[in-house]
Amino acid sequence: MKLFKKNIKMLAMVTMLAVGLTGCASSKPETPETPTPEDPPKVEDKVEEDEVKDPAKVVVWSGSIKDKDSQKLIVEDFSAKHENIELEFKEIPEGGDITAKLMTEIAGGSKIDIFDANQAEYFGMIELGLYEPLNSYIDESGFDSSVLGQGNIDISLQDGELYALPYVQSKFVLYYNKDLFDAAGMEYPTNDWTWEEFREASLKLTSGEGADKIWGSTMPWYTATWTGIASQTGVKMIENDKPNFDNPAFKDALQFKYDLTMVDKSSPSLAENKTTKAHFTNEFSSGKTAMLVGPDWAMGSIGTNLDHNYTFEYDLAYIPHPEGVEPGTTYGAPRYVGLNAQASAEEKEASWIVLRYLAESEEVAQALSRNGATPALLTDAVAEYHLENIPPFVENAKIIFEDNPRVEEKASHTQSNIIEQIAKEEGELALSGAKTPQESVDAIQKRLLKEIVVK
Amino acid sequence: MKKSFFSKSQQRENISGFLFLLPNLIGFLIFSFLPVASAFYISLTNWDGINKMKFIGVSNYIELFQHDTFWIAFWNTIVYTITSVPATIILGLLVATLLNQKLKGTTLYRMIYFMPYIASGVAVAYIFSALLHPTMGPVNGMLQLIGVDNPPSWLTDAKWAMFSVVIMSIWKNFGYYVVIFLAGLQGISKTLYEAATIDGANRWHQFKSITVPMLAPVTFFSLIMATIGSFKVFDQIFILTEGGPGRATTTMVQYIYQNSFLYYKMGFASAGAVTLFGLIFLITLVQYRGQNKWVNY
Repeated sequence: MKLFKKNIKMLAMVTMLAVGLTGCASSKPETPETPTPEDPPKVEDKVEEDEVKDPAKVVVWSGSIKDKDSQKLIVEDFSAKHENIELEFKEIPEGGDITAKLMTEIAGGSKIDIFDANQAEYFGMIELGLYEPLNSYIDESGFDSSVLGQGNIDISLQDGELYALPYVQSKFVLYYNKDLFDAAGMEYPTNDWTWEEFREASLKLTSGEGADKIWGSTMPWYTATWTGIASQTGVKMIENDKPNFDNPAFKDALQFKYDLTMVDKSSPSLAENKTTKAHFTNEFSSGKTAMLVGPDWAMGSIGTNLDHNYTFEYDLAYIPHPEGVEPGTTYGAPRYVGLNAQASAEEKEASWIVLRYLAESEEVAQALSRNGATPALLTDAVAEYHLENIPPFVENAKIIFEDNPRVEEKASHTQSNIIEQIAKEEGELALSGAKTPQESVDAIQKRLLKEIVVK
Repeated sequence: MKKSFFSKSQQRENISGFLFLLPNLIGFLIFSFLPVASAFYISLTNWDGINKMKFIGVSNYIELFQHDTFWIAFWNTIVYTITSVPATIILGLLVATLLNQKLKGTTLYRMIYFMPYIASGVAVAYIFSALLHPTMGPVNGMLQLIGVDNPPSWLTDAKWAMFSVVIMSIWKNFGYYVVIFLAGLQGISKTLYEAATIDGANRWHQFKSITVPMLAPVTFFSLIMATIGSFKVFDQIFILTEGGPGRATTTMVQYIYQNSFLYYKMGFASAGAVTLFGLIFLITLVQYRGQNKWVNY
């Protein structure tokens, strides 16, 4: 009897522990709800002819379309059009570095036929020989890649070859707080502002001190927020196969950012930005920053930050430009989707059909919108769907879908990661006052000449 | 009666011992020994993590020792070690000595001093970021109150960034050594102190002539552990400064991480890892040889 009672107690303890652990395991942080579409896209009655003879399965790794409902809709829509090809989205575990997981899967031989990457990773993948060159596929199939934005295509070419399709776009625009401009009695920014006009306005809009300070402007602390200004003038970080940081445009750009943050103090300094660790969209959402030079997807973040209860009105304009440069010239890093070069020829044939679908399908574009990304596909329907959650006072939101001239945000080079890191390290020293901008760009040039392999 | 090694009962005991050790041993072999052994081989290849490995001999090591950033990371790691380790151990010893008194609430104090050690390194790093904020942080606020007009930017100032990281590490880690030293202090016989008191030794003399020598084995252990730990510093650097500003706080592990996961140069990064292993091994060997001179058991 004693033994029976002891066993029952043990069993009760184990059961309670199991229930408790299950409760703990299930209480993971809630992921924000992605809106499910009210009107699912209609499936065409006529099924297109399959362009592969044998049944094929194509596995897609997408870091941009993660919600299951969207994946299901895409699979259903695609399957209705291509009966011979089975499309599957690879399950991506939550948390951690997605790229590291992708690389581990590929190295481990997992079947991944199509995968996406950000711009720096895109060039890295080219270097590793992981992305299949696409020019021949595009030419043979007659695919018009300009539907993804000619600007996006232009910054993605490597020696004239396109290695993946930019299906998510990112371009920098100027956000401005209309209320703060009204309070200061200033005209709103135009699409033709130069950087000097921007700097002047930023200074005029700055007031107060400490926690009550109103900042004239803010930018993310990405290196691109100064290298991009140089790129707008038409220079590239690597030109004629050599580092190009000795071009005065880079020194001028770094000097501009230094002056804005350390001389005018109208924009948070590197020290403020990095130590606060607050996202730049939070700074703008707080209503205490008059202008934000940021990526287009920040609109969604602003809405989320404020839980769509807007305490101020804002709008968009083209990013400022250097004197003499076409208005609207902007920088931004697309996200790409491409074919796994290690797959077999037959697999690639089927995969190209899926890849093309991912790039030019409005259903996929809508899924990207629901997942917080801005699709690169330039159609009115895509723009309308994407912008339907943007408040009506953002009158110029549609500019994010204009096909503006695009310059590089990250170096268009296979060693983009190293270039980015070196520019970041030396740029930070200038922006923290440890070096002059000239010393920093000289150091970048010297290190790049030594550390990167140029063809 | 001592059992013969070859006796059946001794063999049975030996087998039981190995069986108990086996799960841990298997885990150690698969998750520690094999990866470390693989790193030695990978360091002799040009592996990028994806494509086939190609044996290139010691080319990675030659490139490594010619790389400016490697030497910057090496010296940053040495500076971090020689500043954080002695401070952590001395502070741990002093606090342990204070806690070894008959005071009310020593259990509570022990908990307070140990808590930073068990707190998440990431959480502590975020808190220190807030404390060291250049305009809104309380540290600079207090400095301005006492008349310092332009306090440093700490984590984004190349001159002060490493100091800031060291301070955070000392605060986070010294509690562990408080506990270690406290255990050591409680193992020292009270009669030694009584005899010293009778002979007229004051508290300082007793500390210098009894406490410190008697704690030599514990101090040696703490020194080894702290040194090895300091060479592996990564998470606080990654969160606080990401190795910046510039390369002011880039340490060897940060450098290895950059080369492997940002640049996909696994072979080159493995050469860095093997070099770090060699360095830690050499320093530990020196410490072991050195203990004969000052550690009495």
